[in-house]
Amino acid sequence: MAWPRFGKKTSNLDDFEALLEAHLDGLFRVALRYTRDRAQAEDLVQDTVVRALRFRDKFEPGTNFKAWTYTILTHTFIHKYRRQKREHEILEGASRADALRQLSSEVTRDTATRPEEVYLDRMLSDEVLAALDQLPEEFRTVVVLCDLEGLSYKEIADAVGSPVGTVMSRLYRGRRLLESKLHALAVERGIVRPDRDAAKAGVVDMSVFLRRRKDG
Amino acid sequence: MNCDEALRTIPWLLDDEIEPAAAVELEAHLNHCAACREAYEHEGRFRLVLRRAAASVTAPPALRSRLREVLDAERRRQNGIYQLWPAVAAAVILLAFIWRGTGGALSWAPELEAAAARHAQNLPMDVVTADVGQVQRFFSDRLPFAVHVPRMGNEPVAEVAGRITQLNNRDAAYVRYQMPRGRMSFFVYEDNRPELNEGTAFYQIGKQRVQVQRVRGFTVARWRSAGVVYSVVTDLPESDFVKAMDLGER
Repeated sequence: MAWPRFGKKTSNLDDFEALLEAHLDGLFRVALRYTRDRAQAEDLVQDTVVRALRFRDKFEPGTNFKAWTYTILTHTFIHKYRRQKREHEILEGASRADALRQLSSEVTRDTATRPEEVYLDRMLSDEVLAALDQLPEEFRTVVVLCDLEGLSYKEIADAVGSPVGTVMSRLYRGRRLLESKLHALAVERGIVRPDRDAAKAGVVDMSVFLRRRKDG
Repeated sequence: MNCDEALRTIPWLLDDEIEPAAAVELEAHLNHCAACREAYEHEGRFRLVLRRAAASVTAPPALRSRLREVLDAERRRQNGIYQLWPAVAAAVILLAFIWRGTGGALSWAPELEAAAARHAQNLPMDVVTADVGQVQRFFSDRLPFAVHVPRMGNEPVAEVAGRITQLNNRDAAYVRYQMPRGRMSFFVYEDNRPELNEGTAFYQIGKQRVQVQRVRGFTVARWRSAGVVYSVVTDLPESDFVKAMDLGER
């Protein structure tokens, strides 16, 4: 697939605009999950577009415009917005420790109590996104880029500036953490009953599996 | 493939990040292992729910219009003066046509007398090059206002030169283009005074009001934008001037 070449020619601004238009919803989606604030998300997208415009000569034709802009957005968020929200970060630091504690205990409990019935389909989109917003940033970013936006591991690694292996492990942990939050929410809403017998749980979690193997 | 390997590779299959050989093995395993198949289905459902939730968010209209402004500003910045050249050329032809019969008129902006004088003087220049960008850089930190040095499109430019000059006690960027059949002088300077309108014709071309006149026997075009005035003085034959204005940058 041939991507338009951005040079200094004015007409290529039209190409840029067309591509931007095609990816604007996605950019805003990502920005909203990153910042968790609509006004900040709009600012983040605008900053991203301004940077993308400034560096559009560096966009390599033949590469993916979506991944390129998401990378700029992620960098802008990490270097500008996160610093701006230092207070938030401290708060998040506390919740992050909680989250990690949860991850080690709750995931196990969760897998033991997960029912066969499909609770996921009954969750509202708003609930799912709110649960996602509770994830610590390092997990949230990779889950957003992979599961919401469909970037490849390599593209995500470039965007967040981490090796592919790190991305994969964060993805795994982020997904499990999110799942446990959704499950807890489903219990809260009475969609599933919490007191299911572990033996009846239909879904096998890798961590349980590995533990079982070690024990047995 | 055993169940451990299957559970480990299920996310890769769903993420489309799996080697074809491993995919075949995994699919074979899923076909005969109900537990892993269920894990696979659950994982798939999880992704689907996330994507569905994501799709519920769209960019707000206010953001779209903000971005349109950003892009329009970029267009203006990028085109800058270039956009004006065809407009000026059109005005020049028009005026030359009119004046061919009348043979001269009032001078409406005193600095244009000085501009025409500079053009006639053949002043020594500070930077002489074939590279417009070099002249552009020369001005970048020498004047309190931005100077965009236009590139000539179709007309060969033997050399382009730049220096700071004075037009009626105002600092001005002076760019001189040497072409096979004549010269063109281009001046940029600040002028926040109200526009003198008497005795001059304005030509509304696009969003720009352009004045064109004969001064000291030269064709002079003048327009202003955001407190900065642009003047062009030339002794080029009309056809060359028009050709020079017909720039490659669009």
